[in-house]
Amino acid sequence: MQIKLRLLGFFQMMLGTMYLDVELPPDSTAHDLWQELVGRYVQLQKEDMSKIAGMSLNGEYKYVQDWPDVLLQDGDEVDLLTQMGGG
Amino acid sequence: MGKTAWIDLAGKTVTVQETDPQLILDYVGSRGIAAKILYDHVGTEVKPFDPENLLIFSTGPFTGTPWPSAARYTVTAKSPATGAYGYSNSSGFFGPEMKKAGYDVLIFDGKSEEPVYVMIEDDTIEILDASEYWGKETGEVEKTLRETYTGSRVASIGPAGENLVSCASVINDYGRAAGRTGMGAVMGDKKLKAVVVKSTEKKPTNKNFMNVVRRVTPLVKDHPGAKDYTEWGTVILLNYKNKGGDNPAKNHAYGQFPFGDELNAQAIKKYTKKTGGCYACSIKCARFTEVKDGPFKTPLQEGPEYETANALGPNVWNKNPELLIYCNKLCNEMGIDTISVGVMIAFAMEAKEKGLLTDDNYNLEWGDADTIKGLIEDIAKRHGKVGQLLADGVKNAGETLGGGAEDFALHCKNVEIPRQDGRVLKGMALGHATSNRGADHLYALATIDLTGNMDVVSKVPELAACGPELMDTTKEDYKAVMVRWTEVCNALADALGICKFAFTETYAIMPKDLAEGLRALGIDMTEEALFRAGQRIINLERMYNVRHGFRKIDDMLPKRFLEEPLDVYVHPEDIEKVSRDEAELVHKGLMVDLEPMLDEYYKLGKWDEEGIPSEERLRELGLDECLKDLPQGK
Repeated sequence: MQIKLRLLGFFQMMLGTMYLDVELPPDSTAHDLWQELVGRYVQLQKEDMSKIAGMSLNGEYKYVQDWPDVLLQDGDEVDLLTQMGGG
Repeated sequence: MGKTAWIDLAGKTVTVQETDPQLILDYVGSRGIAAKILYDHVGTEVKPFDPENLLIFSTGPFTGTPWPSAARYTVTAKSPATGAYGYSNSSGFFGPEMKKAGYDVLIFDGKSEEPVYVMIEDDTIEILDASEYWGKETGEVEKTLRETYTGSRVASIGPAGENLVSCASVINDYGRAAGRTGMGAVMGDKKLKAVVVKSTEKKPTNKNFMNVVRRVTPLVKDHPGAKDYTEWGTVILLNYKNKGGDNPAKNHAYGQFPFGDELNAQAIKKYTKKTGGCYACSIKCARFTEVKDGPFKTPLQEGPEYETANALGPNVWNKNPELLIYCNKLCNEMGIDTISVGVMIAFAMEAKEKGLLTDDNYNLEWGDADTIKGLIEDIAKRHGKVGQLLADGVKNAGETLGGGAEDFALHCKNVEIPRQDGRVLKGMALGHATSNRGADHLYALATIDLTGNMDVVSKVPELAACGPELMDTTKEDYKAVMVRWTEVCNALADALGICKFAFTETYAIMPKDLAEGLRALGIDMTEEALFRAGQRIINLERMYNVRHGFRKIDDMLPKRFLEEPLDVYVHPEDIEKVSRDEAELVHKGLMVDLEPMLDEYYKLGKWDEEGIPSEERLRELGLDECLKDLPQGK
């Protein structure tokens, strides 16, 4: 199945793009999506960025601890973001 | 309503009156009311260090109430940095105590001949001799005064304020700073060493207001962004800004620090002994650090937070967390702004590197500990060749050195650039440039794109109309729309007396919630009227600067951001090890195209091509008193 991923904020800055179509096996979860990205991008490998990452699935916020239980569907729109910005 | 006290430091007289309710309806409070007082009383003929300049401490309607993170107060004056509008905002517990003592505004007028401090306990205001405190660091002054007046809170200046350094701060609660635009220098010029506030009367609870507070507090506390600040404090920004290219290093030669593994949130956490928060805060972003021994031994203190950690870390090429912690404490003791002083030191190091500056006392090499800690103290005390060069700001230092040094003196309106790089964050670039108080990240806090906050975008029609391009941090498109909206929200945060982390960082609460809170306090404002008051504040501040001759050229960014390309590395550790051609880059050659953003920003605000509000706009906002200050022919 294909997930339409939008990388926002720091994720856009560090990965260099805002949009990615990610191909995942059926019954994949939000956690599987994250692991796919970690495998693809060295920037995400050195430090566990999921600690400060947020995911919005079709507009609904999903906490990192829930990602293993969040089942994705073909065509889902997912935003990946961090919620901190100011200094 | 609270009181406004006019304290004449020359004549040693005090006049107290009820705060004009119309002022609150027009300007809300704190930053807004202070801007109005400054506009009305401190004209172009008054220099920052003239006795006629006013130093204004002001709280907002929410300050000191149970509203989430309602801890803030503002210090306002004609700034020795900008030469025009100036203010700074601080948190902790001083502002709430001032409000509980009954004061919306404290206006310090004139100059005392001898050092004084002002002691305020409820209705009693005394101007007292501070000779024994003059020359002392802020920590000792605060400790002594708080021991003398049990239960009090203290805001004081250190050597930097006494020596009229352009980035001198006002320090309260030992480690909280009204840091920007040199308000400490104005306080020092008035020979006002400290302000002590104490309240003894307990105010009755407003049940209607508490009902609103109970509704909004969980929105703030439970927001995912707030949880991250609670867990890590702002220093976690060091980590992911370093991956994204917004952790400025070597005076913004780079957007990343190759030693990011040595100076990051985890490194600082090793020295963190406890966490905490300001008055009425459920987020609690504060970290308290200590270095137990060694050359940088530092007693337990609040901080450093992100801005300081970058300014005195990567920006000066320092990778030693113990040196950073030591310098954070030193800046607070000296009463000097950590952001500005870090930019000043980085400027001196770059000047040395380029052969424009040498010194007998310091080697001025990047990352040199003796240079960094020595210059903090020298700038604060106007000691030494380099300390004196930098004490009036980096702009002045660049012009004094010449030879191209002006180009790497990083400031807007003579206020040193905070710790973002506009080449990566275009919204921040515009915010830095257009801020009425000089380079500033908090003035507009344009982070809707950075935080990927699609939720707020969906709630605000003008943001929603921008489309997804709004969220691309590296592109200029629609950033003017974002800044026009966020600058008003942030003006309201300052005017109400609340922390931006509990409002504009997440927009967990929205202007309608703020208006509901105000109405519960008996201040009859609709959401629309409140937003309009925020716009009124922005325009009044702008007109203050216009009156002082500020034009579009004063909304410019340093040349470095406009003409020197910035690359973002996949591996920050490659910086200075691998050539640009061979390095793996995420972004290549980022620069700021400021002109189109400025033009759109002016147009959206109904300002002309020079950044001057139109007559129509001033009339719309009820700022008819500003019409006389429009340049002729406008």
